[in-house]
Amino acid sequence: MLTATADPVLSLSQAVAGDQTAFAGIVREHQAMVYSIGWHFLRDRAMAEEMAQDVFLHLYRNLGSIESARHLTHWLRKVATHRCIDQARRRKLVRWSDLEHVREPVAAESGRDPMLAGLLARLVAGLPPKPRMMVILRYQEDLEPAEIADLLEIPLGTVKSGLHRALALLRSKMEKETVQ
Amino acid sequence: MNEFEDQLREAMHRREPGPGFAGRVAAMATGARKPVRRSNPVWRWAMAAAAACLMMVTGVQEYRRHQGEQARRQLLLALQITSEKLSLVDRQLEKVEGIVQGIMVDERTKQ
Repeated sequence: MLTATADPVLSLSQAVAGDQTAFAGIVREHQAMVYSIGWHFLRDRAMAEEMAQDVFLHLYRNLGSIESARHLTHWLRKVATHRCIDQARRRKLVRWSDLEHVREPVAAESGRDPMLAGLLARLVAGLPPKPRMMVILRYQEDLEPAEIADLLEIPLGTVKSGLHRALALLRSKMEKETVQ
Repeated sequence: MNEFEDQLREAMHRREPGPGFAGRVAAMATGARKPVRRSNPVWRWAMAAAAACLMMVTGVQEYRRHQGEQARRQLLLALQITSEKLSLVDRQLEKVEGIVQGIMVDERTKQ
């Protein structure tokens, strides 16, 4: 049984030295974040797990370049995000929802329903790759638009408008789905 | 908008990969285990196509074997029937030969 080391910096230095147990601890600590980015983006358990596996194997080869625990989290998010988007580019057969004709949301709506979580997750998976990743980073990882812009390497304004349009589309689709 | 965003946060909650994920990945990283490749759609389709081809080839072979077996059985039956008919003809010929010989003996005794 592999056990994690409590101190992330110590774990990092041990993993760099080739300690398999320390590396397993790092993986265990961040696996939910990396896997969930893949799961919400790809909606395929095997693909998400394989993406997460590849991200951690890539990390192992680049452990020497990681400077801190914070840098590690940022590095993992960035690599996972870009791998997902690259994978989506390769799967061009999937039809995305068209965001161009969606207006930005103007009004709030009440009525929280936890049963809609599954439906919402499916609707998020139907968004085009970049807005989909923006929504995942905003609501799974709780990142600010500026952090999302940094991760996706796009302007802040693009992230803000992308998020607004994505939310508007999700809201209208959810309304249609719940009415039917 | 907050209610909707709360629903989104709920829908986007983090999930854990399968059990033993960290141990497997650490073993792969240190070379103790080979990386697993299961999710490639091309690989999935290739596997499905290979399985379908294998099933088709096996099916054709089985069909041919069955057809061959059936043909062999039919040939044996035909040979058996022919053999029985020939035996019957042979017996009939023996009877006729006996009658003819009897007639010839009778005629010789009359002379």
